[in-house]
Amino acid sequence: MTTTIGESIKVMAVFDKGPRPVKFKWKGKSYPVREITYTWSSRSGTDKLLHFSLTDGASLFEITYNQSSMLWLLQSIADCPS
Amino acid sequence: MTTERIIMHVDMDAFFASVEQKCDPTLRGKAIAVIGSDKRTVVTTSSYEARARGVRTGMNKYEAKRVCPELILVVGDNKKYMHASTKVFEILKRTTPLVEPCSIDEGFIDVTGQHSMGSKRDIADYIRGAVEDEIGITCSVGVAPNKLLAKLASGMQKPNGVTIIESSDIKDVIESLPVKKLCGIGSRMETHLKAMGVRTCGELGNFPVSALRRRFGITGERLSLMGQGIDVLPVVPISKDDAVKSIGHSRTLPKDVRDPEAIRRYLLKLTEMVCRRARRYELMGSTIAVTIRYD
Repeated sequence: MTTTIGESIKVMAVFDKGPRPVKFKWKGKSYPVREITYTWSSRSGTDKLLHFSLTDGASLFEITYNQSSMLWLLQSIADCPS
Repeated sequence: MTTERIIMHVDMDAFFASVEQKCDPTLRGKAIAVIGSDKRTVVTTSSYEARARGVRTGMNKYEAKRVCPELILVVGDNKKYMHASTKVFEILKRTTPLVEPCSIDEGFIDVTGQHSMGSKRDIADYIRGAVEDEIGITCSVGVAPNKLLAKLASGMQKPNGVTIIESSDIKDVIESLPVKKLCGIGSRMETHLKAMGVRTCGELGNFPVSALRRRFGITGERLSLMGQGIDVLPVVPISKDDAVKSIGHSRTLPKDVRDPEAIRRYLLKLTEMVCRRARRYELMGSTIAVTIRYD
């Protein structure tokens, strides 16, 4: 089941032809990025957003990076069946 | 001597569903259907696993779950699909500038005279490989001397297939093919042709052109050519200068509505949306079409 979050997060990323998140922190817990499954971009007004669908092996997350404000948001979480 | 054209039709495989399965590894190999966000919504597309269990585009979600109880419903996200589509067409433009998008998930390219990338098979395999490597989803490619046959070919070996129809094979390929398999011939036209005793492309191609012209006017001539596998339409790249030919909006209502006032409110909303876009494009319409779907 997917839960919408929409909260600001801290992200450790490698910037090489665009950002690639490697780890993020939400509510005090650190989530290592095991796999980025899909990336896409969209616009919110004049702001360009980069979307990342990624997993830590247990859950599937969607996080976004706003290239104008340079802010990361956790958009949603879906639990992966074990 | 006229060079024979090499036209390719590239068609993404179960596009929206494939993108969702790429996004979420737990959906891979499973029966999934992409739906809208409204409570009463229909299947936009489904994975091949779902199709094998009888799920079809256009089914409402309850019907889809009835035919396939293990079906996983995924609310669609057009931004994801637009992004993938843009990347697909960027790949196609590496092969030729003559790229004609037909929709978000299919398009034609004309690679006539392109020798730098190898044979037509090499080009088709390059496209398939690049789409899979760079986007992580698959497509099927049809190769033929014209658009009509290229589109027919791309549907012959799905998913992730390449089908080449050579000029010498056209007659054999389409002779006993039902007419409805040709792009441009729908159920209605199929019924009209059946009433004239025409069921296959071979029969259509052999049918007297004068009789087709009498029945269907100028369309009759095109039908005759289609029955012979002939199509002279060029691949037309879309440019920013191309005129918008129509503007439309549609909505599936959350429940059946009979109240005329409520219907007028929905119509007003849709009209406002269409007119806003028309003003943006500085266009005026001459024809209004309203399509109503009800049980």
